[in-house]
Amino acid sequence: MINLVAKNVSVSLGNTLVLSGVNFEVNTNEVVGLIGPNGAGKTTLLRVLAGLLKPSTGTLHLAGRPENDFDRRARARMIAYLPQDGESHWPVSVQTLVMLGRLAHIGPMRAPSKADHTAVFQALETCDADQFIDRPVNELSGGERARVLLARAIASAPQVLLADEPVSGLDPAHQLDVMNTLCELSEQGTATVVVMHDLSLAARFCHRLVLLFDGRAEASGPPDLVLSNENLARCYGINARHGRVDDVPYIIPLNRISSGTEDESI
Amino acid sequence: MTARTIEKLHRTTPALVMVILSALTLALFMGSVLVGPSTLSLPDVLGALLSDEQNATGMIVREIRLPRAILGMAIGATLGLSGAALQGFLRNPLAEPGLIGVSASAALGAVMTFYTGLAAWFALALPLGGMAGACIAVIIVQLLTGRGGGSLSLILAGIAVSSFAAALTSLALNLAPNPFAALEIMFWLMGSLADRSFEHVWLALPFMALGWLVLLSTARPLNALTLGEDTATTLGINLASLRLKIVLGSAICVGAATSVAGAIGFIGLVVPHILRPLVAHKPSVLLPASMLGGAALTLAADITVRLVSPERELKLGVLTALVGAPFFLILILRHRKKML
Repeated sequence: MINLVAKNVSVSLGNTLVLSGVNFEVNTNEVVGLIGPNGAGKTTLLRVLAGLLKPSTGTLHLAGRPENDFDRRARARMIAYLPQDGESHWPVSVQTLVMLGRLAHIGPMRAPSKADHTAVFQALETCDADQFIDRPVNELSGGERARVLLARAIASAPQVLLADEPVSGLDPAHQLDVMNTLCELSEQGTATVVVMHDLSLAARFCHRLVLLFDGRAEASGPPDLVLSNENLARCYGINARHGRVDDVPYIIPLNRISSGTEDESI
Repeated sequence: MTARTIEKLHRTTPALVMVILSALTLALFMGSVLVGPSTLSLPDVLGALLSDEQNATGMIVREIRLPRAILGMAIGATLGLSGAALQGFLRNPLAEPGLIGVSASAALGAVMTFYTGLAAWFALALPLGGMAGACIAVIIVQLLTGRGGGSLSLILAGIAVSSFAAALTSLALNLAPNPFAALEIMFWLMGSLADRSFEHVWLALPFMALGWLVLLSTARPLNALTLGEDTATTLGINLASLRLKIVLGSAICVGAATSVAGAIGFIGLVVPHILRPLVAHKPSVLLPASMLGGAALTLAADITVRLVSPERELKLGVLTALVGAPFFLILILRHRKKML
């Protein structure tokens, strides 16, 4: 049982308090969706969890131990981070790119082992991207590249996967593919945190949601509770309609609630 | 195709590139020993290299041509390697030691040790001065561009540092006490391998070798940087230590190289750029490949300056700039869309 727990995390960037007193937790076999309007602090929280940003206050525990108990490489083997709009700066082959995910598993001055090659191939298969293995990454379409980058993240067989908007910019079919892949991984034991904007996908695929608003965790729990009309109105400023088709939940934003009641009183 | 056959394919092509580059470097090294004002045959040269007879041929080969060829090879390797490392670190194919101000500042450092008489006082002052100049340049460029500096800000900072270093070197030239001192200073401005002796080899080579080791140790972190700084960090790479290695490694080997041969530009830009597609764009493989390619290109250029105008020898740095500057222009035109 692995878990990543952040307690009372606050982050200030310059004079702005980006996160204030956020508690967060993700466990094995769980997909936790991180939602909230733009600028709510979702990416900041994910970067704190990934160890890229030191919080000004608060603690981070990995598998029950303080996170600074782990050295860089040990941490890299346990946690994988998939940034938003990930890119490859050089047009290397897909094989080379995904092999980078194995970096913390390969000893210094050693070539990749058979196990590393197998892991790369399996990760590509899981993401339905094995047919691109010998292609240069710059020749792939946006959807293909997103799948390859996800394969890079899971090639290290991480116990915790942190993905920042992995489905943004993908067509609906590939959005479903990626979300299904994340769910399969969680069934195999991965603890997954995924930043999302699509509320319907969040409601459908995540086991738990954390709603961030203005740097605070406003709500946390099962999707239907977190995505209540009241929460959506308060945090997103929208009226929404909820529904279900064949047990698949959907949420349609209907209209924007005009900010403040003063406008109407005038 | 299975994963393994593909990996094999990816490994054999760079290996072949390395073999070809090694052979080319070796051939050009021999060519460098063969070419000069006095015509020597290959058997003569080989005989002189393998014996220590005190005849004219032996003197020419061992004391004039051999150190020149060794320096050409080592300095070329330095410039190629440093260019490849800087391009990989900055993820910018326009980076090279000359463009980011390292070469001009190393030349200034060397000129200062010469000008102040430090170099005459103890010989090691020359490479140390060069390295100090290079270090200062790198620090200033880093401060000017900051963490997220793009291509444009890097090149602008490089131009600023280069111009200022060149201006200070010109000032030294301007205030030179006599024409001979002025000529000496001109040497570092133009860059040349002419009249270098084994003394220069022993002064610079150990530092260059040290810089090579530091730069070659960055191979794996440079690969990780393909995915950007954040992802590289989560892959277990220590970015601060990587930056220090790149900066120090470049400053040490380019500083030492420049202090004995002056500023030789564009080798570090051109070589990694040409070789990158041949090594499947892998930053780690590009490092040793650019070392060999830099050595080969510098030896070839140094042979060319001797052949083109034997009486009034063209300076090596002048030739590389004449060929390299248009190449840089083409690169900029190609990258214009990306940069703006």
